[in-house]
Amino acid sequence: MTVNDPALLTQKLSKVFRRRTVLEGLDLEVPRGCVYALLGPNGAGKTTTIKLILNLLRPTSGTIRVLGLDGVAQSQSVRRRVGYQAETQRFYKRASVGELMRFCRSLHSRWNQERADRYCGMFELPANARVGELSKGKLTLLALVLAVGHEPDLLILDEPATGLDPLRRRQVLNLMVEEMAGEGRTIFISSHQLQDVERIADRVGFLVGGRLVLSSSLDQLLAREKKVRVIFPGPPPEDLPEWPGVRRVEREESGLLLNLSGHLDEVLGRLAGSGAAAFEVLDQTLEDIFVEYAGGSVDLREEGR
Amino acid sequence: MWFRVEPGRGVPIYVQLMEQIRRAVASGVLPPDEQLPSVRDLALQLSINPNTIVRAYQELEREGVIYTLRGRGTFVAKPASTLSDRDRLGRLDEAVEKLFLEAYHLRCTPGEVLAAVKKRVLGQDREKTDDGEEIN
Repeated sequence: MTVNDPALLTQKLSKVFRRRTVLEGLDLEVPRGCVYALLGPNGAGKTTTIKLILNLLRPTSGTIRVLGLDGVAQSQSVRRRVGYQAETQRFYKRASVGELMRFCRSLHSRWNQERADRYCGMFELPANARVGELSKGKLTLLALVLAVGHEPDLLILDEPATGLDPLRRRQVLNLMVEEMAGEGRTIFISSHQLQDVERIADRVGFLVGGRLVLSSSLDQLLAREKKVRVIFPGPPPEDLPEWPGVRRVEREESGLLLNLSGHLDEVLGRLAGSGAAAFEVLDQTLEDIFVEYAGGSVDLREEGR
Repeated sequence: MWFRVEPGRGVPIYVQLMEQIRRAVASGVLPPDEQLPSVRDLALQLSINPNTIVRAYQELEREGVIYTLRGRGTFVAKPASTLSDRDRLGRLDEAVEKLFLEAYHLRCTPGEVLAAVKKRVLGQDREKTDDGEEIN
């Protein structure tokens, strides 16, 4: 293994449960030191992806490399260097927070108790609190603390912000900031909180129906995906849907709405030269883009077939 | 200084940060040689990715808005000291080009463009004065 290996690399990864294909041909690459957010509707295969990475599920086909190690054959070594916060927690309910912490500590050769204590303080998780009496939100926070205690190189968080109020969500984000600021850890999260993702992610992937339909740097994505509202006094150019970058053309009251992926300057130039009376470029939020890509039909040209 | 980032604005956060620092420097809120927060502190203050701040600082340094002293931190640059006249005017030219494009697409007349530039540069913000007088 070298430092140049990506933190995570899957090739043609597929998972079939009975006859249902949950994940199909997933090619995922997560560079070291970045925060990668995997986004997708419920049932898209996000949790399945995470379980495959951790070898909690066996792939039907394809390969997984985690920190340069084989995700299946070397899964023991992988687990030592990966921290994992699951979507739902199954802790021993009668234990106290402190007892659970000591147990987790005993499983690892390395453990940063000072940091774990600091996070427990921030999240208001007293050592003597019974696990069974914690709220669902607090259980998620406890799982987060336990996932980072052994200073993993790769941190995998499945829906870390679910059920948390805005203050706690900011604290969770700051935990991620702290984890990556110092030692340059890699963080892989699945999330529905798109505004949080915008704050923290370097890269995003959209998983829809078991397929990765998009994987991109977040900054590039926001710079690239635009809508252009345009009004033609006469008939619009017939080949408009074929123009470079045009993903989709929607009709509006008095004009058209173009969904663009790149080629903005070129399209604006061509619009100016083809009799468009007025146009307006609209920025899109991550949520807009997500809905655009996850919302079923993506291409008008293919719809009529 | 207090910064604000708005996820959900459709503008990359590093760009939002650059806009605010540029504006604060241009308006004198951040004077020359003022120290900017460290990457880590600002990341925690705003709950954003440290890489985003590194990127904003790097781009601003390239533009000559700020400078970094290794081991000491990031500081506001003196406006004129970092760029040659040629670079300065070249960059102004780029900004004018953007203005020209925008004005072209908005179908503004040359008179409208010149009036808008004059108003901004000479600080004669008439509309504000008028509003103020109405309220008083």
